[in-house]
Amino acid sequence: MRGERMTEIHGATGAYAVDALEADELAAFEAHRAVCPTCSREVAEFCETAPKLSVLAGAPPPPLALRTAILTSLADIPQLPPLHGDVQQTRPHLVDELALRRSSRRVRALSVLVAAVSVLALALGGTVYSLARQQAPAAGASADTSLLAAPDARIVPLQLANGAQVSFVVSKSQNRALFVGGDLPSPGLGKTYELWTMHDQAVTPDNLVAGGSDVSQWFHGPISRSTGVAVSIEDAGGSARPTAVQGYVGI
Amino acid sequence: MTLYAVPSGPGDTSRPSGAPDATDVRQSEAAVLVELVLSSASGDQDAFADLYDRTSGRVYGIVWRVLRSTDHAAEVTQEVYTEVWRQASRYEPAKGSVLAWIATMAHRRAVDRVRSVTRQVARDDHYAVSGTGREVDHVWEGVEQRLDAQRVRKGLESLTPIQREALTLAYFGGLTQTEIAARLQLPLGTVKTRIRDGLIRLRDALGVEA
Repeated sequence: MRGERMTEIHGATGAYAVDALEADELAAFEAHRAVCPTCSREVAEFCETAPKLSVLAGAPPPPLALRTAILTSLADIPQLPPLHGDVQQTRPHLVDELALRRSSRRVRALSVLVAAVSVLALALGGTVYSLARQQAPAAGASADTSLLAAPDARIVPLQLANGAQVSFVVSKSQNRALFVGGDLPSPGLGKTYELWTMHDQAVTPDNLVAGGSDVSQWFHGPISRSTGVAVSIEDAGGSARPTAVQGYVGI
Repeated sequence: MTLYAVPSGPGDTSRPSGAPDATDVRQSEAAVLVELVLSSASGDQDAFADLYDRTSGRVYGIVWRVLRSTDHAAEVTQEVYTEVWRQASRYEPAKGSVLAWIATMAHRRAVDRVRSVTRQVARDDHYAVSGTGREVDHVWEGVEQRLDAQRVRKGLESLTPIQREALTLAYFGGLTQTEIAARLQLPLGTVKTRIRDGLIRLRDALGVEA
C-alpha cells in the first residue's frame, strides 16, 4: 500500500514539470520532491526538456513596445541580494545533472515545508527548530531552510481582507522573513500585492508578490528592527505608501 | 477519443554540411546566457537587454501559446522579466540552464493566468483553436531556429500519439492532468504516466545533442 503510493508520487514528475498537477497533489508532490533526489533530478531534467517545445509555439514575435516597457522599467525595480554566498563565484556546470535543481521551485517546495512544519508544530507543540531538522534532511543544506532552523523562527498566520490565508515566517536573529501564501487570489489586472514592514508609526515598502498558488516571497528587511508586517494591493510596480491594506500583524 | 494532429514540418532534417556543430553552438549560447544573468545581477542593464533579446522570442512564445492573447501574454512576459531582473543574483547555474529557469517561471505564470482568466470561458473552444498548430513556423525565419524546430518536431514524432497529445495539452493547452484525462477519456493515472513517458522520450531524443 505504502509502496504503491510512493510509486504513484514518483510518477508525478512529468505532470509537475509541465504544471499539470492539481493543487492537492501539487502540495503532496512538492513535499515529496524536497526529500527525494531522484524526483528532484528528473524534474530538473524535464524543466530543461519541456521549454524546447517553444520552437513549435507558432507565436508571433514579442511586440517591440513590450521590450521598451520592460527595459525602461528596470531603473525603478530594486534587485534582490543573493540568497547565500557570492553568486559571482559560481561558474557554469551546465551538464552537472546531479546538481540540477530549480531554485524557484525550491522556494515553492519550501512553502509546502513551511505549511507542513506549521501544522506539525501546532499539533505537537514542538519547536519549529526540531521539526525543521526532521523535515529537511536530504536535499542538502540550503539557506532557505536555515530560516526554519533559526532558534527564534516563528510562523505568524494572517487572513487577508480578500479571504486569503497567508503566513509569515520570521526570524529576527537572522534578520529575515518570508511571506507564504498557499493560494493567493490574483490581485487583479495591473495590480500587485505589496509587502510592508512597520517600525513604530513608520511603514516602509518592502517587496512585491504576484498572486498564484504556493506563493512565497522574501522580505528585504531589515526585519530585526521591525515591529510588524503588512500586505496591501497596489498598482503594478508597487507604491510608496499603502492604499488598499489587506492585513497586518505584529512580529 | 479525439486526437489532434501534431504539426509536422518539412521532411528534410539533415544539417547542411560545414555548419558549426550544433552542440557547440548550443552550449556556448547557454554559457553566454549565464554570463548575461550574472552581469544583470550586478545591475548591468545592457546585459539584461541582450539577455532579453536572446530569450524573449521563446519565452513570449510559450506564454502566448498558453494564453492565446497578446495583451495577457505581454503582461505575463513583463512580469517574468521583472522577476528575472529582480532575482538575477539568485540564479544558480549549477541547478539548470538560464532558459529553463526563465521558461519554467514563464510557463508557471502563464498557466496560473490562463486558469484564473478562462475558468468561466469554455476551455474546449480555447484549445480547439490552439490545437491545430496551423500557424507553426510563420515567424521562424532563421535557419538555426528552423533546424531547432525540426529537431523538436522529430523528437515529438518519436512519442506515441497519446504521449504527444497529453504532453502538448499540458504544455501548450495549460490543462491540468484531470482535464486532460477527461478530454482523452483516459484514467488519470494513465495520463500522468503518458506525460512522464513522453517527457522521458523527448528528453532522450533531444538530450543526446545537448
